[in-house]
Amino acid sequence: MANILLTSKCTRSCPYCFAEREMSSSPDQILSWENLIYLADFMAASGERAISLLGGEPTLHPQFVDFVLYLLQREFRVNVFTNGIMSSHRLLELKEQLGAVPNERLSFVCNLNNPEQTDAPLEQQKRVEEFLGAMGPWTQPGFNIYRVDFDLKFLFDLVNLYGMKRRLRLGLAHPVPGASSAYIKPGEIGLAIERLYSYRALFEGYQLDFGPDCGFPLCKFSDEQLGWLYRMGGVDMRFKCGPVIDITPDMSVYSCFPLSSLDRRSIFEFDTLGQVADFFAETHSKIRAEAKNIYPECDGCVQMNKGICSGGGACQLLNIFKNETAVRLLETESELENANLPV
Amino acid sequence: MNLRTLICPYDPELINGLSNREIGVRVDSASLVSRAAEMVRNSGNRLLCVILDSTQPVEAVPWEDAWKGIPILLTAPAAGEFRKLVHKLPLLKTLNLKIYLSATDENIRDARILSSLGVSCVLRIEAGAVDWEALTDLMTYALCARAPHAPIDPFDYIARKYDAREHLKWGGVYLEDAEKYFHLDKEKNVALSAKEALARQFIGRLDEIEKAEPEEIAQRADAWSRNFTGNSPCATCEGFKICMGSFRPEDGKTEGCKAFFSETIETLGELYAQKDRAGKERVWQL
Amino acid sequence: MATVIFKATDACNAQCVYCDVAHNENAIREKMPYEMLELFFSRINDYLLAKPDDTMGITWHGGEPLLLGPDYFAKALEFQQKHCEKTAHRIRHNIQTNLTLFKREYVPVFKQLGVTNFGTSYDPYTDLRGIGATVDANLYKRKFIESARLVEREGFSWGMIYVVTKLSLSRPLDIFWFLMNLNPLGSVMFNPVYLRDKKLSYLDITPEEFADFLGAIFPVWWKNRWHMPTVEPFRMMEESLIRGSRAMICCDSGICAKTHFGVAPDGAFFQCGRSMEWGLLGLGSIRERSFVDVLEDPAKAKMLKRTKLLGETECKGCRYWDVCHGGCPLDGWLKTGSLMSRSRMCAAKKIFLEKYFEPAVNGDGSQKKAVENCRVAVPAARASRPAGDADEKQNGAIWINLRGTAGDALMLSGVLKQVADRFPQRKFNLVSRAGLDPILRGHPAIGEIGHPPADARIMSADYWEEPGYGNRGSEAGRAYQTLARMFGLELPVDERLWTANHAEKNRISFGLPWKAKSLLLCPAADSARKQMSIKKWEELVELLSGSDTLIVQAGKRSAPYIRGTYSLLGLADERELIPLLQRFDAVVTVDNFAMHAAHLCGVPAVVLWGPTDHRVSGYSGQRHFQAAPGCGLEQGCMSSGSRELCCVPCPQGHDHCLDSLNLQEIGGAVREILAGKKEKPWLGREECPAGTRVEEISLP
Repeated sequence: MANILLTSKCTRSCPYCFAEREMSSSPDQILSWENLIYLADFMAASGERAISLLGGEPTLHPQFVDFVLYLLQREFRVNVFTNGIMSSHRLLELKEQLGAVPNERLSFVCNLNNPEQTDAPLEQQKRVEEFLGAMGPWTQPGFNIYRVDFDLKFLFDLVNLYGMKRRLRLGLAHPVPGASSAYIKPGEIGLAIERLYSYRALFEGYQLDFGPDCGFPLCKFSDEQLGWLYRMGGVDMRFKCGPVIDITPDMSVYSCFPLSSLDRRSIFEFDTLGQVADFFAETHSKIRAEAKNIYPECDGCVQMNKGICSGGGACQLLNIFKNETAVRLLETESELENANLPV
Repeated sequence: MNLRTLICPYDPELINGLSNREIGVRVDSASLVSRAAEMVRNSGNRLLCVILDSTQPVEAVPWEDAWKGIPILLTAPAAGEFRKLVHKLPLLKTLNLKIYLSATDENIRDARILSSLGVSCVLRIEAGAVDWEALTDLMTYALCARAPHAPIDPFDYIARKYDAREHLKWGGVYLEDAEKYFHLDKEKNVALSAKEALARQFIGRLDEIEKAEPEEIAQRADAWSRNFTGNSPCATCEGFKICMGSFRPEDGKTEGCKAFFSETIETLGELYAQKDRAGKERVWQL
Repeated sequence: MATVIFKATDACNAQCVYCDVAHNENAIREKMPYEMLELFFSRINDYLLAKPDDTMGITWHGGEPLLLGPDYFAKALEFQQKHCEKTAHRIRHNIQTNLTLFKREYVPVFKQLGVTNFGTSYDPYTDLRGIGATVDANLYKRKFIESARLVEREGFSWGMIYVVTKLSLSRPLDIFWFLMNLNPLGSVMFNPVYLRDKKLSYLDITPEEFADFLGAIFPVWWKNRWHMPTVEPFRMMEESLIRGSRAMICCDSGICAKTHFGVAPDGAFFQCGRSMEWGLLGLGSIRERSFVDVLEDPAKAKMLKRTKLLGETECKGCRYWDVCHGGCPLDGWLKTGSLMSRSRMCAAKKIFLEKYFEPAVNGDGSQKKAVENCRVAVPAARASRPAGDADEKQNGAIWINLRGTAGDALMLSGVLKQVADRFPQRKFNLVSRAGLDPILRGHPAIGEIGHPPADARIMSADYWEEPGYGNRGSEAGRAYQTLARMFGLELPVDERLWTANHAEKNRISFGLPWKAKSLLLCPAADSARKQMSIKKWEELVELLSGSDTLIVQAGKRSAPYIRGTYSLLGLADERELIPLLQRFDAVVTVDNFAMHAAHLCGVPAVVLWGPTDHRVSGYSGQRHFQAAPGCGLEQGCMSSGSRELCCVPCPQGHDHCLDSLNLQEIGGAVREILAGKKEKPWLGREECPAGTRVEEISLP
């Protein structure tokens, strides 16, 4: 599956935003109809039946609703990553035009921040609630862990209040090489997992499932925690890293936001999504060939060798390389150079 | 003389007075579509299509299930709002339909949308009023897009009909080929295009013309050759064999049309080469 | 096919500037009388009866043949029907005309004569072709275009000759596209202008100019030829040089004398149309001679000899002889006064073919590199001299950057141990890299393993890039020695390996079904080129299998399994392999980590070599089998510093060098080693002593 970025702008400034550098460095861009159709054809030719829409904030796109209707007409399942903050007009459009779409065809992931831990104007919080009030049943909550003392309590009530889907998209905030966004350092991951585990009673009580998103290392979970994860998420547990494919409004493609400057290409250079995935898998291999993983003990780890765990995110490694003198493969060095990442 | 297809207004007396002809009948109201088709079919003539001239966008036309089985050519100013059009699509996809749109920026975009959703379109290209770059982009989509989509003319027509050994005659896409179509009024006066018929620029009456073809017809067919006697830049254009000088803007700025038609020929070349290679690499299976 | 250039009249309605006929005072403007026309057809019949396998092409020429009028052609048809009743089916009529006089009245008789195509000539941009005494070019162009359309409407095709003059040179592509667009069905031939009148020298072009004119057009035609009409001379060159056929026009065939002749309005024979216009090579009269006579005339035989003569003299060895044959003899005469000379336009052909035709046809010649760079030189600072204490004092510890394999890391570990022994105060840091850290962790010479800061001093440990490495004639060229030299050790050094970080024990070695003898196979390497085929390994296992010998395979999880072995694939990484190795009596391996580890552990090894050389990388005391490469790379494809081929599969396939090794010899070496080993006290699945630091390992 690939993520299609409809816009390069957002209505929020999350402290952990790993798209922030990408968004601020690109001019105001929105995806055109022509490019949407091209991407729909591309995905169809690649055998993909699901498309995720991202941004910035995708609902800011002037033709957001039409785009969703178009993709639905092309028989894709559409998933939209949103912060839920939108104008009343846009919300009304959603209700009127998308309110009848079955939620197996259309879904939202609403990225929620704890209002007490993450500063946000009251107006924004109100908008989020209005969105959830309208589209709750289509929506699953999303949360990014960017500080070890995160507080999830606020989230459970929201699920019930707005009839949201009972599955949490839980992400680990990742570093953007050279940028200053908040993220969980390798040494802190264990603490974050402990904290998460401390909410198990609530997860079980509210029957809120979740599956960890990319970059969680397997070894930081105890056997008991892994068992609990399995009970909560079933087999949908990921300890692997990428490549996630992101396609920008100007038809660039890269493997996930934190690595958006590395090996960035144009989607037109590829014929299928499989080729794109292979290309970025190669990018990841080059990084992993230098240093496989974020912990020394990963070297020789059986789960790594079996391919069950990636040993943390490639972005964590790149973050380290960026501060080194130039000792890596020429391609990696020149990409880092070209990326013009601030040190 | 070869019998032309007649494009007629919806007039029972006119149509019933013709026999054994192929007829395209023009109506300006959706309520007349079924009736017009039936009338032609019952008159001893063959129905080419019903031409519905609509002043409303496509999404506002009152489409009917009963139109299935009627070849329809809709001329409309625009496609309309997508969110309204999208609800009509399930029916539109089942109709034998071509939608004619003028080649404005919006319509160029909408033609692509419609085509990708299975509805065939025809873009009316008028010299001097076209974004050639956008049109080139659309041409590439029409000819090369990998996902199945409905034809967009004139590109599809060009791809099917282009023969390197002759000049392309593609007035037929717009029903304006002097050797194939006559546009009649109620009195059987003949014009060579819908625009000329509307402006009452006739070349004669049908029965007279079919006895002795006037020079205008041959001159119209040979109009392209005048590019070779003046100092026309079209004569040396790489895309001439498709364009035939028909789309040269009046201001003489030919970079746009030249780029478009040259690229079209180049794209055709690539398609032919691919087909040729595919033919050679065919695998035989038991 | 014999071809007669038939000029029934030299009269013309046009006055083209460079036309020899138009300005020839001796040209015959009257029509050939009917009685001679009849004789003409009678001669044709005689010829065709005498040559039952031949056909006769009649090219109506002039002047302007359409000035003859439809009645004249009707008469010609009548005479043909009268005299050629049995041979008419072997007669082909072509009309060479300026088309300006074409009208519908000609159509019936032309169709009856079997005319399908008209040859013509046109120039869209100059005023060199014009009608009447005023040379009215505009009238000419208008009438030409109208007539061309009429010709097409009546179902004929037409092709044209474009005469290239000085005035053409500034716009070759405009001319090209004009002609292509005007007549997509017909063909176009580009000919250089031939001028005898010195007053017209302003129109003349050099061979180079003609070549460049064609060269400006050719790439465009070549790229677009799928939808272009035939263009000469391009088509002829493509057919001849690429497809190998010999479809050449008269001038280039070398045999025009055999196939062509001309008839003037007064019945005079000439070699061809142009010779007629220039009054050269007259061959008698139709009243006295038959066509057979004319074609067998000694003068024509002499012209054929010209071809042979040129091939042995002026044109000897020319690459393009087959598409030229010295060109038109009249061109040669124009230049030198001798019909035996080669055409001055032969230079044009050569230039065109070399400068334009061949590059376009052969592509741009660029070859994409097939080599994937696995290890690319990083333009980082490298120590240009062995690292010393002064450097460290000045700049902090040097960071060693090793971009090699685990085996290289083990060698480095051994070298650094010797450095540490000799210079205990010298410390290095190590750039962290997957697969290498475990081997070097805890090394006394290494302080930090991690990520060098931006201002760190870096020292590359890539010994394969050192000058002198790989020199088989010298010990100093060996890998270990080279590495030692890089770290300031005086050569030669003992090639001792060392590691602090091997596993204390291997997790699974207890569970092995040990036998009296045990053999470890490690067939995998970082490069597929260093591996022997699985089939050969399996044959070796069959040779060595015995009830008293356990054969175990170790390697990565993804390595292919060798049937007949006890698989430990994926169960022992590099660190764990070391204690595991110590349990075995011998190891059979390739140039890989196990080879180094066997040396470290003192386990006898049989090592198989192919792309790399045991003299450079192998250890003494091991048994080496070096395959002789069959690929022509006698040194082996990976022996010297280049590691570019590491990831590229061997193109030799089944003839890969390692697969040529003699398994009997290898098996014999293994058996010899196993025969000399003492039996171990532990047999069966029992607990065995845990491994200790390598210096303390000794076999019981």
